[in-house]
Amino acid sequence: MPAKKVLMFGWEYPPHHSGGLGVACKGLAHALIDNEVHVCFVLPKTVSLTDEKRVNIKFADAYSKLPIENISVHLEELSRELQNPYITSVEYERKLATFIKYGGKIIPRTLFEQVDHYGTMTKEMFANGMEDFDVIHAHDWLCYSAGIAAKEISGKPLIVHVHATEFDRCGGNSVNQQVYDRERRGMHVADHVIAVSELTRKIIIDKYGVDPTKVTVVHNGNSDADKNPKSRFKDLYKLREAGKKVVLFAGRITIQKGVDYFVQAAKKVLEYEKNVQFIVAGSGDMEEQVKGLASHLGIRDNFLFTGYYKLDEQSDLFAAADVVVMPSVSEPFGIIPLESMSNGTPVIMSKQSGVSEVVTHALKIDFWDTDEMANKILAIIHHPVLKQTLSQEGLRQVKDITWDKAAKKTSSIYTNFYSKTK
Amino acid sequence: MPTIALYLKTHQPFRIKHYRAFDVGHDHEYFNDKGEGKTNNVKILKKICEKSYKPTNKVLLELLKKHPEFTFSISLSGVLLEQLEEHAPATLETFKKLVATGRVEVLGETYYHSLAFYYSISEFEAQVKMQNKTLKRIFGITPKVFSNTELAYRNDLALWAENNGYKGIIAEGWDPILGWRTSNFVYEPTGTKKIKLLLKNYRLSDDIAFRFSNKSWSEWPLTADKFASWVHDVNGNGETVNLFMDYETFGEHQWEDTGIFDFLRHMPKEILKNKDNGFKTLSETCKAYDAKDVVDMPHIVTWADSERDLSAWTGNSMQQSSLSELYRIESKVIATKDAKLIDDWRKLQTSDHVYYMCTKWFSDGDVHKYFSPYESPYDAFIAFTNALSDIKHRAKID
Repeated sequence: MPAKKVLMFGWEYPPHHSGGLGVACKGLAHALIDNEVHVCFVLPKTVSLTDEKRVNIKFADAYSKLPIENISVHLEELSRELQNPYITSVEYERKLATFIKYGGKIIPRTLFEQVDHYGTMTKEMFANGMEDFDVIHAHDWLCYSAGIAAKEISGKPLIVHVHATEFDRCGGNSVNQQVYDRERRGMHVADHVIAVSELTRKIIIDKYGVDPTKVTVVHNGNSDADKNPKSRFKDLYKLREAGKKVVLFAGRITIQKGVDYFVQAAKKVLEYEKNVQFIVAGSGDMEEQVKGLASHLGIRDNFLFTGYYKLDEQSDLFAAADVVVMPSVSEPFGIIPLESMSNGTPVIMSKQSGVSEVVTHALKIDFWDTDEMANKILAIIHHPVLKQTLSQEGLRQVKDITWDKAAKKTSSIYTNFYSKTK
Repeated sequence: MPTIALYLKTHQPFRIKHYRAFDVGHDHEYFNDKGEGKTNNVKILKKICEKSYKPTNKVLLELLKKHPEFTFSISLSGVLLEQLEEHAPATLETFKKLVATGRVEVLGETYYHSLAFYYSISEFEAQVKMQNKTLKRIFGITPKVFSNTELAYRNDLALWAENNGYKGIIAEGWDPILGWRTSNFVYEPTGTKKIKLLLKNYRLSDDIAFRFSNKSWSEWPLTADKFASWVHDVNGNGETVNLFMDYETFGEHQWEDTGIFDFLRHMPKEILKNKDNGFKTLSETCKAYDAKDVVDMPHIVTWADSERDLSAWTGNSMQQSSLSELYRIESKVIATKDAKLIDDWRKLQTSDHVYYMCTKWFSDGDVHKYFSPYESPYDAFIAFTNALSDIKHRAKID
């Protein structure tokens, strides 16, 4: 059989990324190439990716009459935040206002306009001539309009890959109808849907009304993260040397991530063990609220808020921690536990997560059960042998959770369509 | 002309409830889960009585009445007897009826179903003594054959048993130990003079205990006459077929709808069709046959897993640390002379607690092998360790 060729649409790509989506796209793309699939990866906006030698990357705006304008260096951060796939539309409007106030120019104003513009640019890209491919693969709703456009023009099968749904992002609050509609349309137009977990597959079937026979679970793999020798956190491990127990939350500070439950559990832990340092690493729209909660509970001094951190700083955070907690309210997959386990740091994870479907060597809790969260934090900080066993077994297990497995499963989904279209 | 030595072993632990760090120092009841979960001991006991003990004992009693040649051996851990006396006296009566026939032998063991022999001989002896006292009180018997927890056997255990008046002791008939020899003879343990060693015929035992309902097994379905023919095949190369298995094989591991009770009902008749065959208790087997050879087991051999070792109980550092911590505090706990505290500490010695902490089957795909009331080995460790912390708190140990 001739090699398979996939035209893949993404929204972000490391190192220019804000969360797990870019990491997952890169991990999958590389592993597909290892499995002899040709990958052409499209991004909406031109960025410098000189380190990416293996994947053929195309920037859709390069073919557009209406490219996203170049922006000055000091606005780059804001621009990146605007492209954050996890941003809420309210937050987007607020940041956009600041961006424009400081002289930033961007053609499509709202996130929805940007998403739609991706579809338009895709059409322009095709008009410029497109290499041959067998299937289209679009990651998350931000890329569905581009994927749908490619399917309409080429007639090739479209696979959409669901890394998160609006129901996860809103953490139980009311969903954004515009996002939901776009997600739903993409899933229904698609010839096949890939879900990152059984949890997500169930949401796709129950809340988006997608035919169960066309939804397949492909669990994410673990990516080896780069390490920055100049990381801000390289001395953080000294906290432990000084006899502190260190409990870490790492991720975006949003309602989806359940950081408020983490603070409630910390309160309980501190009633039994005073010498504990809690670290909240990351940024997000709930940051002030979470700080306020810690102050209100009288435990603000036991908390360290690091603010936004880069991926290459993460391993120093894990190295500093006795335990990493992922208290997500709804986590389609969740790569933090895998990254933590690769660093030999034990994990307490929410059962409401896709990653708990593939990880057994971790402690699991219901996100709302802050007593149990505290019980398990206390168990790890009091019993080194528990920490040691989780660390050893976790390291062993995470080596088996690979992108290669994900790529093989994805490739077999391609094959189903490949044989149909040839 | 082989005889069959059927031995049914049973035990139920006092499972530790979801006992948390906050409970230490406040709540001293570790085993009293009243909820719907899997650590409600009373609920589990009642279920097993209905599914296994009662229907099994009914069949066994019928068989004893029907076949004067039929006889067998059993053992019940002290912690099970304690639970039966309190919560299922009617089921305990059915065991008593079996023993009252005089054709059902009861074996000796540790009251708490512990691995104490390998950690503290004084503690081990105290638990054996307790078990003997309980057996005397309930069944009016004194055991003559010793059966250690999980059949965890070593040469020095046999020597201990001999020095303490036992006529026989049992162990796994494990090929790497036996070499060219078969488990179908009686043996003599290394370093002893009179005591006999009976070895489990694990192939024929496991045909019933594990493979009975396995439809992908080439011999499925296993009928009583087929099984009798396999036993008969031993003729000429053995004197005893030692079938050792869990009581719960009948009705719990193999459900009633697999036909396991019908199998049991017909098995003696099929065996006895051949006039050369018969049944013996373990004591009778020891008495009837001379030891054919000396069997040396300098290292612990159990009846568990493909490794036949203690790795399911002591394989990881959580298990090792739990056991060493448990026995480290022995003298201080005993010194309190607080009967309830000592009993609670001993209930933590039940081997099931460390077994639930076993991580070796707990990776992808193998989780189905993890028989445990806990969600993970780690949850098992946390509940145990918190309970042990409370024991230390009560005994004022640092």
